[in-house]
Amino acid sequence: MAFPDVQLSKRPLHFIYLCDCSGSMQANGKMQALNQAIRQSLPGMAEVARQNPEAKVLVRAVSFAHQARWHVAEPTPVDQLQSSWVDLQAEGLTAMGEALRLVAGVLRTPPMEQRALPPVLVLISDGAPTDDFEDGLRTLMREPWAQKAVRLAIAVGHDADLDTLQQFIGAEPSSAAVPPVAMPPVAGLAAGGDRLPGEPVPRSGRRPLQASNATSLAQYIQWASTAVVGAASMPVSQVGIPSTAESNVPLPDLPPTVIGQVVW
Amino acid sequence: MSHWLPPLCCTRPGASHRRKGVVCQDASGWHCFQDRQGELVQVMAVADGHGGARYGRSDVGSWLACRTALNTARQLFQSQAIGAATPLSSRPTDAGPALSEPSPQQLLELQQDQGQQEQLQQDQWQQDQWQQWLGQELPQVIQRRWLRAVRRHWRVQPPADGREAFSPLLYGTTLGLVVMTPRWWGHTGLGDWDLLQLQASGSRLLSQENDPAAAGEATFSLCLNDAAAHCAPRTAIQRLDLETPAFALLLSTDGIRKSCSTDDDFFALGRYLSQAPLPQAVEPPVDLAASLDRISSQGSGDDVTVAIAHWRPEEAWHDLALVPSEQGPGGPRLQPRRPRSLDPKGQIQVAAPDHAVQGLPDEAAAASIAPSRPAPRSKPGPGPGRRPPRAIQVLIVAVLMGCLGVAALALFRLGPLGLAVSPQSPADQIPAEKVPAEQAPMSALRLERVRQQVRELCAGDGAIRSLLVQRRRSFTDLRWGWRQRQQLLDRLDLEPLEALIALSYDPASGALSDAPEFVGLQACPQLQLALARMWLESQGSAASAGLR
Repeated sequence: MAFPDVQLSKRPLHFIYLCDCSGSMQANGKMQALNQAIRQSLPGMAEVARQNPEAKVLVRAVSFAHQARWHVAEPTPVDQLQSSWVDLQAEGLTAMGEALRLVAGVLRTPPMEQRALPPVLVLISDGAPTDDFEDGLRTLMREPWAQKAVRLAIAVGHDADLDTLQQFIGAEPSSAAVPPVAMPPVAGLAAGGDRLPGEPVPRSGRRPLQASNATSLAQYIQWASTAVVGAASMPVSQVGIPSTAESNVPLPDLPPTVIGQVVW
Repeated sequence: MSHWLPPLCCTRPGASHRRKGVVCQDASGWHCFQDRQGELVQVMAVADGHGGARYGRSDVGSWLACRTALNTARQLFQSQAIGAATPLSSRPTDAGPALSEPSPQQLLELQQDQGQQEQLQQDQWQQDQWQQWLGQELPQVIQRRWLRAVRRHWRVQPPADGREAFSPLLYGTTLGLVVMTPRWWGHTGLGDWDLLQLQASGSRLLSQENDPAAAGEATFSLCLNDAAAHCAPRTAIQRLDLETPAFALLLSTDGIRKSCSTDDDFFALGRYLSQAPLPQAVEPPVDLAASLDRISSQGSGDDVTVAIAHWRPEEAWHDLALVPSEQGPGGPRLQPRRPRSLDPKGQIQVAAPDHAVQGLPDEAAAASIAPSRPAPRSKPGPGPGRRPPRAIQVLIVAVLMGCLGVAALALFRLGPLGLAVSPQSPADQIPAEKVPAEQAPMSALRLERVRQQVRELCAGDGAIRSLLVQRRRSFTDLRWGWRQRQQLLDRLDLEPLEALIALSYDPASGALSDAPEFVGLQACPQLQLALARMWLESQGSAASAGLR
């Protein structure tokens, strides 16, 4: 009996940008910086995809202003996107809730594949939603694939509504999530390492990333498109821990903070 | 008696793991033994270590999970006849409705009805007992022993920098287990394994992880403190009798299913992988290793593991019995099943029956599988007093002989459990506890582990003598036959020094060995001298006095 005619497939990894294209993004070159950052990140993402051939990295993008619409509607292999990326244009309001509902529609199975890797959703915004964000988030989070997704948020400038972005990401674990293992670790060596009293809480992908200039925006987008895609491409099993908000895919370390001029 | 074929297990490192040099974190194995009543029982297990930095020893964890599960099942089965030995006094009774003065005919019918009803109730009660044992008692013992095993491993192989604290999380792994007896079979475990039942009438996905807490890439793990509780939802019992049509079971880690676009593809793959072998076949009908490699490389890239079992009742065996025999004019005849572990790469591994449980006296493995006494038929076959046809009797003997043949081969090649781990896995270096074969050759990987011990000893030469003296008992035990050489070799991973001691012994001369295995270790003169002295001393204090 010959090997059966079955469809073995690389596991698709859906990467979706949700880009704020409201009028405020025109200020101080934010829109231009975002387009530039996305363009610059695509070769790195393509390289990560080549290094992880078992994952099929497919990119889409949603823009939201007066209304949300697909900027890249078809799941597009990242290497094809490099030559076909069309710059986003800023105008109007911030229909973030509608954008979430739009994404919810494609995270259903079907069209989502049963065996897909956890999708990566990157929300980029410089302000606050002007529509019913709560409803959009509820709609999104009803989809199992949205619950499994790696959800990241990048705040462009200091006017971004961090609470909203944090809601999108989900509650940050109060401490490093330690599953209730059968034997507690030795005291003083908690998972995730110790932090001295007064030491600032380290930056985490489980919080909105604040980009205050074009360089840091590019850096964060690069991180999301390469390091996170790499981690999501070859996920390791995680111990199932009910009632913790740990990311479905262990997030890689963030890039070092760029000390630069605060422009936004 | 059993109509189960010996299982097949195969574990292959995933394509992406090979490419990135990541160790295989899957493990699998099977076990064949008799329970306390002499019933033939088979168990097969798969485990998938979580991988990643947080679970840095999960390859060892998965290997230990399989080994612990198989040994624990055997031990518990041999200490109690599950289900069959249910005490009559504790069986539920049903007096039934009181009827006044029934006619003889009514009385007869009533007795028949009551008998059937009691039988049904008794069967149901026994099934509940099995289910409870499989879903609660067995997992609790397995987890407890697994925790002990991983802690022991941590003690023996602490981290190089000594800063990391022990946590079972490091060894985190899933575990899927299928138990097959002549009258029932069942499954238990936790984590993202899948179990397919494949038969002529169709395929069914019997068990999968679908707890919302284990969404996405999350899975339940043996390292959780409530691990045993997560086994109950994955536990089920299925009754068997000779009317049960032939079927195959395919237990797999998640790498297989995640490589398939749809469940239909998964079912098709399952049917292909679980093709039943013909009795005359030397090679399995499917090159499992090659197939699994293909699945991983064209699919998820993850490690891939399957454990496959076949239930072949009367009809199926009768059909197989009609396959023309090579033995000529004697008519259709079944051949003894030959071992299936003939893959030259050693990827398909079938193990021998085994008594290898820690702390138990060594026993003759082969004796356990032989039908030393007739296996009681606690559940009648097709009809009262009906004996199985000769073809089945012959077949059963064939299966048992196959097990013995497999035993011999596996003892030679694999160790007592049919643990299939990737050849790239360091778990391969962790032996089973005991191998009855006295002179089983060691793999290159394991020899290298001993060589490493030799290098360490020779590098710190001042400590050689004191270290050996601490193991004086091992020398004495070996010399006087209180322990077997293979027992020490089997503890190589935990006690490499003891394995070295075992290799250094020549039972014929009672002195330092000059066998190639030991010579090849290239022990420094100081070590050779110290070992020779210990062997001399082991004869008695008088003989050793001259060396002091």
